[in-house]
Amino acid sequence: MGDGLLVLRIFFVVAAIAIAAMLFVALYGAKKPLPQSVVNDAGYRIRKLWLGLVLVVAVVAFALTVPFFPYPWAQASVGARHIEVTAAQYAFVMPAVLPADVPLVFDVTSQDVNHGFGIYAPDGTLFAQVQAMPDYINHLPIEFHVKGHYVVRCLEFCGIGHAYMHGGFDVR
Amino acid sequence: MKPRTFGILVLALTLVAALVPFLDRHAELPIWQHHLLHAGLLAGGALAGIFITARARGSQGGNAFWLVPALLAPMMAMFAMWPSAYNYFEAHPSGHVLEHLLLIALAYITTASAESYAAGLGWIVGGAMVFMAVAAARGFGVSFGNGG
Amino acid sequence: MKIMWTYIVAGLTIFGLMLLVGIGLRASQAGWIPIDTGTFYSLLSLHGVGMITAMAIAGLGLLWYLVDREIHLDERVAMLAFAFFAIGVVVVIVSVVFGHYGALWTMLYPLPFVGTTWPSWATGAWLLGVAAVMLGFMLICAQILGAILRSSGGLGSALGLDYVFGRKAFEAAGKHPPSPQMLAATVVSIDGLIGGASGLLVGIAMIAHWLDPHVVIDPLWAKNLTYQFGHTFANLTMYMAVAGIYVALPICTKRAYHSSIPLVVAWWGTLVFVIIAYFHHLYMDFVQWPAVQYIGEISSYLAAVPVVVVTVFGGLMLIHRSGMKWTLGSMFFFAGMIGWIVGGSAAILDATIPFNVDLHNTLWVPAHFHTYLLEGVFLFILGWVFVSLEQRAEAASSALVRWIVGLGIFGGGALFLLSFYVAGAAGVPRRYAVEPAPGPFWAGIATVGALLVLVGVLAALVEGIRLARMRAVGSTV
Ligand code: HEM
Ligand SMILES: [Cu+2]
Repeated sequence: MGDGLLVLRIFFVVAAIAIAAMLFVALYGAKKPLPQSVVNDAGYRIRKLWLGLVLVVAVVAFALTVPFFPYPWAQASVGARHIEVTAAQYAFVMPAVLPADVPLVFDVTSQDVNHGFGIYAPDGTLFAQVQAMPDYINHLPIEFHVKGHYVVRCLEFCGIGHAYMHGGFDVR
Repeated sequence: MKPRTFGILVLALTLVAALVPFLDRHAELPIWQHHLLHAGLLAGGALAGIFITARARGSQGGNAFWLVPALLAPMMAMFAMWPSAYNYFEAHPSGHVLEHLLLIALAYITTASAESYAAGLGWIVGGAMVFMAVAAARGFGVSFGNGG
Repeated sequence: MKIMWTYIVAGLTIFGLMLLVGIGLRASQAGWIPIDTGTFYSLLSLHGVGMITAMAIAGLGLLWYLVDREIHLDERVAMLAFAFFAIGVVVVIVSVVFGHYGALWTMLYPLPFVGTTWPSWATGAWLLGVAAVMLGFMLICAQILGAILRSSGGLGSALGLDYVFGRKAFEAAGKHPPSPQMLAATVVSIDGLIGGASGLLVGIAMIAHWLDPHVVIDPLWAKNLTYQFGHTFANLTMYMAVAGIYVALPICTKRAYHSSIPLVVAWWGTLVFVIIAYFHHLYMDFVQWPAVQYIGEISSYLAAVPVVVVTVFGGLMLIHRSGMKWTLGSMFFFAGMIGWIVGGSAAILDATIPFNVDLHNTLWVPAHFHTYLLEGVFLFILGWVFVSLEQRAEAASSALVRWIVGLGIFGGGALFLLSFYVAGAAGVPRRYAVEPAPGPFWAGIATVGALLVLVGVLAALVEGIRLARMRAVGSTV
């Protein structure tokens, strides 16, 4: 939720480490040639550790992220107020004012093609989203703690008016 | 049992199954179940094609142009499962049986041609075809939705 | 060789044209050149499908050649497949240029039929054109797979099962495991046929709907199949090009690269994860069956393991302390591995569901796939071309040329990609003809970067032609 910049920072760090490591291998490694068997012996040993590290990171990352999955079954949305949202080329039909600090569930659907229901917080960051599909209703549980104007943008290509498909609501 | 005999047996059984519309004239299946039955017919035709054509593993194999029917026939089979035609076929059993025979023939052509190019390829191409037919049941001609 | 060069030159030609289209699109998002919205989406449709097809054609040419070296393949089938590609490309171009089709390359049902601004025939032409490309692709996959089954005596040994489970007996019998490039070919062709089947199924359903609107389609089902096909097809372009690493890097480093148990097992992983990782495209479909969301995240993570632990790691082991000379060819392979890893890292972050909420369908998505397509797949193809040319001409390029090409393609590329990432992290949506702030600012920076890429590509083109002609002049055959 609004973590785009955090992801960007993580990405920069990961990319910088990866590039540095690879450049090191290429540039330092270019200096004094060694027979392949020597490199391989060391390489295979490092690779075992590396494999272990990669697997551990993958499993830990998975375990850490599961509690933050945005899906309705992952959160107690019982007793929440349901808000109907209907998307259609090229607008969203929904209430103009919503309450703060109350559990809500958006019931999002579409009248024509696939759309994306993307909510941007008052500070402009992408706050939450869910797809709006014909024949289906997606339930997006949410609770607003920051008051102000939220912009809604379409986040699934829906035709020629896609870039102009936006709406909004006030949280009071 | 020799592979060939087995293939002929499967083909015979599948052909018998294709006649079901004559027996049960009043069946009105939902589209998705109908697709699944067709997937069964395709699987029968495909198996027959594999076992009747089967070559020794690793044998030289034939002309690569066998791949053209092996790829076009499954596409035609999908078109033959045209969902909005099902109503018509349910009212016309002989047309329906013909449709079934067409499906079996297409499935047979698919795997027989693939096997003619290379032993074992029929399983993969035939498998992909049956996968398509089974998958079709989830959304080709029907929409399930979640109704809220 | 003839088939390989036909495919690669055709692929790179389409790439060049689509590059120009891409620059036009980015410049338009920057507000530097006026392109009306309808034309923007027609051009974006063309750019997306054109680029993927270009990489697939070039990659297939490479793969076909490598397989043909070991087991004979019938050239005429490759030419027939090429005819399918050519027809498909022409029909797609007609649909866009004369029909103004503009529902993009992964059109989600019922999009290409509802609220369109173009005639119905253009939608049909687009569907048929893409189907022709897929048929060509599947024809090559089936040809390669069949030939491999024939020569190896079955899928099990083609995938190295007997080698991994029973290595002693296997080696005692004097048998060899499949070569790395053959493993790549096996995996690409199996996954290609599976992805192709998904694509054909949803494509046929859409063609049926086009001809008879009574044929309804389930939108969630269509979305699953469209992305299963789209993800697999786009992802496989990488694994085709990777076959080139296994052959060319040993040439550059004068070292040997052999199949090993880790390599074989890594390719099994790729075989599986390439076809199921697509679930990450449906994270924001909360109606999707919950279990597959978890599978999506896990399989996206695991898809990276073969890459970082085996292929790229192995590539680095080849390079390390080998005394490899920096020619354009080796430079491209090395930079391509960097692009692959960097683009892959961005993909992994996006495949992490809590982050996906912030990134899904923002410019982060084109950011990551341009990284590994432009700075990965494309560089591997170029690397292959240049290693071949350098070998034939027994010559290399001057440092000046390497600097121009490097600064253009890697430096300009970094600028171009960085703007995608930053704007994506700020929440700017993808596929917007007109972007909200800070989109246009970064689009401007990106356009400068993309123009530098163009300069680098042109320099590489001139240099490539020079090397190719050196052979023609000095050759006695
Ligand atoms: C410097 C070269 C390139 C430029 C300037 C460029 C530009 C663009 C732009 C502006 C978009 C639209 C982004 C958005 O707003 O959603 C885009 C989308 C895309 N590009 Fe590129 N691109 C380049 C290279 C490539 C390459 C090398 C490939 C593949 C091999 C590629 C494949 C795609 C695809 C598949 C899309 C998605 C189309 C869609 O959203 O349907 N591009 N490109
Ligand atoms: Cu939209």
